[in-house]
Amino acid sequence: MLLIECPYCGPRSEEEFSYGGEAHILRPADPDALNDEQWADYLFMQGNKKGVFYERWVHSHGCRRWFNVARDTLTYEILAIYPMGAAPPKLDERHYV
Amino acid sequence: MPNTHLRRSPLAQLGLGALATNARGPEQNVALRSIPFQTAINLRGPAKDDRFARAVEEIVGTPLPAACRALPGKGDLRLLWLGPDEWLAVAPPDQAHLIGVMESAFGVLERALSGQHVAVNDVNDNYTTIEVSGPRSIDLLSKGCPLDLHPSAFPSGSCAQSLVAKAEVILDRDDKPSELRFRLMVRPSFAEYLWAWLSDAGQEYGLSVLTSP
Repeated sequence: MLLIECPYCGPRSEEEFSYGGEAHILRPADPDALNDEQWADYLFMQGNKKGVFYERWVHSHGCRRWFNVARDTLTYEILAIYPMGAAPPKLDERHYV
Repeated sequence: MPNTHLRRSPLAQLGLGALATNARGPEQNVALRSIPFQTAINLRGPAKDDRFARAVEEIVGTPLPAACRALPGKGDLRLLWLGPDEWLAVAPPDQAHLIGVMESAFGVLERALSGQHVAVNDVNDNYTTIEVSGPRSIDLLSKGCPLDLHPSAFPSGSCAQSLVAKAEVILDRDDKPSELRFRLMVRPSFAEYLWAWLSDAGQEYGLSVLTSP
């Protein structure tokens, strides 16, 4: 079980949070201009990285606010927590073999 | 004023009146009490705006509490922090003056904050309250709550939204001078389940049921 530092409530158990998938996926500015493949790519395709992954979490049973987390998907270590809309912090990407 | 003659506590079917006592016995280290029909007003607005903070203080009689804290205000009212732009004002049931206060809140806030996003909502019926009191209340709640409830992390005056036995609750620790006391605000549809869970989990501490107010 992870201990996640909610930017508003402080450290809380993972049980109180819900996962929101990969962060920083931008909605296409003009969805009408996309073909089905590009639209499906936006809707469904997310990274599955072994290393530092930037992802969204929501404190669903607490303050109900969204925020971003940079997490090492191999060690589960949480490396950074930053607000929605902020640029991801510069981190060592930790490429594992 | 709402019509009160037809309303029914979400825990009415448990017949708590027959179980309840006014005083706890010597072995009764934890007690439950149902407090139905509490007044609850959800408040949202820009915390950083001084005009909003002042307007709230004027209405409820307390400054906006810091994160995860609750503060007492006018007439048994408590203002609970729920989020960076969200608070809950809780007061005893049927406070006619508070409903008046709420109505004036709309006026004051509208005047003070034209053009800003502010919301005041009556959420009385969205919650019912279960009070857990007595020296073993932390042990009881810790069986099902992921929060660190140790007094060093969660002293009196703390509040949090979390889970107790997987039911979503607002926990408000508001000790009496010589007694640990938590108020759990829970959705009416989870109230019977949570009561049953707390009753079961509290057996080993000699749980008693106190008379509802």
